[in-house]
Amino acid sequence: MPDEKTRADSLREYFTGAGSDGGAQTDPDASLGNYRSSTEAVSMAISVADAIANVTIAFAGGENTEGAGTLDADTVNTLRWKCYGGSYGASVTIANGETKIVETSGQPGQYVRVTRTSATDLTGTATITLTKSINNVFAFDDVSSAEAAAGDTEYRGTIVKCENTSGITTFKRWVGTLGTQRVSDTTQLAASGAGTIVTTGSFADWPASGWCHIKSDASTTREIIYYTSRTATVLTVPADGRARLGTSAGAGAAGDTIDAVPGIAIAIDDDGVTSGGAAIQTIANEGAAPTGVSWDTGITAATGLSIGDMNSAEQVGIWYKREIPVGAVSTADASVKVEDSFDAV
Amino acid sequence: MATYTSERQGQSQVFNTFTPERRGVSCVYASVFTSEHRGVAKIFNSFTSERQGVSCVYASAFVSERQGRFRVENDAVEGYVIYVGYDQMPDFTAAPDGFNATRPVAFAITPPGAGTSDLHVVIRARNKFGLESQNSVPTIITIDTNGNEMLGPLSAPSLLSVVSIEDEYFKVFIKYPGYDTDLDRGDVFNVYVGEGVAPVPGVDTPVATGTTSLDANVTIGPYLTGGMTYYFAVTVFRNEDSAESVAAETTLVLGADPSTPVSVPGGFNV
Repeated sequence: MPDEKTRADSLREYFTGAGSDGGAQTDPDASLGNYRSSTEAVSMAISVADAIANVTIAFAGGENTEGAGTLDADTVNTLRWKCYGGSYGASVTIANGETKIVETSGQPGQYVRVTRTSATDLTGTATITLTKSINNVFAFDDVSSAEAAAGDTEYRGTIVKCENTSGITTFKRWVGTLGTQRVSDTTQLAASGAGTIVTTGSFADWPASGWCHIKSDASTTREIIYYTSRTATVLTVPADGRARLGTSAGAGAAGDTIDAVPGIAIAIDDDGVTSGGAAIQTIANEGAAPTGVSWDTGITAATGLSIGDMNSAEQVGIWYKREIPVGAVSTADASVKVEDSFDAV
Repeated sequence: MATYTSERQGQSQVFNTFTPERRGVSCVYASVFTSEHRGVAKIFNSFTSERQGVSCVYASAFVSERQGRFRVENDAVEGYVIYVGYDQMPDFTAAPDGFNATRPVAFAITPPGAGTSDLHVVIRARNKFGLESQNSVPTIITIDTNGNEMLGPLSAPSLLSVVSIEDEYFKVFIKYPGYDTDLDRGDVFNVYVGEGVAPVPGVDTPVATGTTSLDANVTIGPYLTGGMTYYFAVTVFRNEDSAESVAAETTLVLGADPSTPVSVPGGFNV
């Protein structure tokens, strides 16, 4: 049965900005490097209805789907979980005082971390509604009107710690996609300037505005652009939307793949993987770039960050860059997503 | 890879001492690990056989996500948007037909060319994140062929009742149910009375008028003809376009006149 700090819970990500390892620092916007905070970086906001007595929910994995999931005390000493749209995973025996993870069937990343606080028999079924957290450390703060008009680039730093006593291997991190991949098979951008990208596919599940990663083949980025609006088949790209996130403007081709992505790049801190407890570099403010890092915008495990192995208690600093182009349009829901893969017990 | 410690490299060297049997186990890793990762595999191979079993599980790949969301402000989009549908509800998925930071909001219309058209107009508030309120209750505006606004219909008054009061007067009670709901409500009640014959609203002259309200009463008179059937009609009248509503109607019959007094022998008049 999954103990905490195993499987997908092996790696935990924390704010930085603390004065010492594990020190207090609860502001995601102050996560600008230095020591690891005791505050874990959450992806999902948790709302509980019909709570199971003496069971607390400390964390929900970021791969859970948004919506009403169910935590069920199927016996007096076991719990099982299914996130919205999923099926119950294996029942997990949990004794008083223990913390365990319970997973959705077939989806180990869709888990919640629960603690039992009494020996009293468990009973009941709780509805756990999960929603994507707003203004967390991954997504940064809101963009003001002035920042949107002038453009704005900000940075955040976190520390990922290996909490698994057996360590983990093959840790990779990459930028997640936000819609179905399409091909720019009808109209492509010119070498520079404003234009449109048209597909015979559908952009129906893409954000109303946002960033698009154009690739000429599976491993080669042609350009990352920002589009201000879309229809079901057309992305409208302003001149200031070209050559984003360190890419260069270039003429598109009919065979290019296009993916909706968040407007971020990620990087490993220049210290790489270190033994736990060390500080990473500190940036003076949210607009100051960390030094000595290589920004990555890959959207696959093969093209993202390859962090490698981490022994128990080792840590790695991760830097995030969010780039808002000049003239960014208003939105109430700009999503950010990064994905991890690793091997663990 | 370049940032790894030399200690890990040393572990990788020990990896070469595996027995053939253990290489069989490490082959599982070889499919997913880099050579440097083999150094870690070495550590597992130095464990008990049970631990080797665990190391097989170790090869399980987990995928997880970290996510969040933020908003982008634009002061220029904060205000009110108008959606207009012609003879049907507007399409709220389309771009708004008008915007202004404050109300009222002006918008262009397309004249129907022939006949009239009912504009279904919905106004919504929009914040600086572009998030709109969800109002879907339309205000209906009728326009004529040339696009000029036509005032809305007038509701008829209702619950008309009349009572005879002292001094041969009548008191007329009336309700105007459209007072709060008519798009362009009427200004006055017109009260028509006919003695023995029904009046014709809009043709006859009203005997009285009264300012509209939800409930009203008007005193009229005197009317002296005992035994007469009086016909009452009340309409709502709008000054702007001289529109008059359908009438509410009722009748009332006065009692017969009392007998003329006569002399009674004995000196009393009764």
